[in-house]
Amino acid sequence: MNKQMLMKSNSVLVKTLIVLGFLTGIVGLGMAFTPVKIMALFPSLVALFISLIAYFIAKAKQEKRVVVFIALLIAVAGTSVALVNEFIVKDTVVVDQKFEEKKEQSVQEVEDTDELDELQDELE
Amino acid sequence: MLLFGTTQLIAQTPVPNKQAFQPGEKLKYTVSYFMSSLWTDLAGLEMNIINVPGKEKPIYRLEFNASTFSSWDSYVKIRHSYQTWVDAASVKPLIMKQDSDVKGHTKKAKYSFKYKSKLAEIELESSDAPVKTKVTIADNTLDIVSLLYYLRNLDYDTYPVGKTFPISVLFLERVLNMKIKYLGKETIDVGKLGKKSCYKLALELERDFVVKRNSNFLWLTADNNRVPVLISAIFKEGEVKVKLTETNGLKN
Repeated sequence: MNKQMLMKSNSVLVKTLIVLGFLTGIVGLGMAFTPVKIMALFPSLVALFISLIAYFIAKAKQEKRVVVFIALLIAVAGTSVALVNEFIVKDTVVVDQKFEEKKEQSVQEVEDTDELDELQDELE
Repeated sequence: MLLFGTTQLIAQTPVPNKQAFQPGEKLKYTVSYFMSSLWTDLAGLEMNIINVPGKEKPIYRLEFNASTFSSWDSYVKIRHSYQTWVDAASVKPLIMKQDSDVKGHTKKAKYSFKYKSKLAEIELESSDAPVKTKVTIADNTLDIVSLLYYLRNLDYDTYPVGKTFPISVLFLERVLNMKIKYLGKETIDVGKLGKKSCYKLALELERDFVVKRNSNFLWLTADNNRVPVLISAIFKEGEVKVKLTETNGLKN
């Protein structure tokens, strides 16, 4: 029975769903690593939904399910990475040492002179 | 009668009477951008007050430092530093220095405010050749940094809702005439800091410049610190919100 199930090739409907699941899943997984990670949830959840439908049809028709599993895995990975990157990984402000030095230099250029006192005298 | 009422609400630029901040104050913000129907946290902003040592009459250095979050940095590298030295008593700017680096395009600017001669000297260094110029300023001309601190020093409890006053701001080498309108109190959810009762102000420009003229709002806590908790504005590229996330060294 199992051997028969593995051997039976996928129907056109399942193949179409697998292709769609793969495409949306890959897009979602890719987006999950970008700054717009929360938006990756849309394609990833669509991929998850399509892959699950493909899985249940393949199961009911006793067709091959290996490729469907891979599509499902990509969709789950995309969803998980997006959620972890959005809600668990803390985004921090970049500390740019070179820029900090420039800023310090700018401050020194002003505070090392009498310019501030002269301009303050103009307020009176 | 209606005309009389409106005229009454448009007042002269008020003189601040109580200081809501002190040196050592550090405020942290998240800058969010509305993109494709979702708010995305783009950058962090820090606002610090530093006392300039060795001055007969106190001078504060007000710092605005903005930098992109690490996840965005390789896509849109943004670094902005605005340092404004102000007379501590009047919060009038003396010198403003800007250092910016946006996707590799650098800019250095220095504004020196000479109130007696009603002039601001501008020195500019960017990718092009250095430029030196002068612009005419008024008694109520501030820069973008000191404007925020000036607004913190006003006593809104004595203002009727709708009170409007003029102010001018030297920003991006132009003097922009603005009107500040007090819109009353509103409760704002400041995330981890809880819900705060705030004074809402509209910052109206004469015409669109960088931001849309009627789209700029500021919420200050309705307490003695008058901390800016939320700033919202609509740029050509989309809506931007600046939200308070952390406070340190508040005066009250």
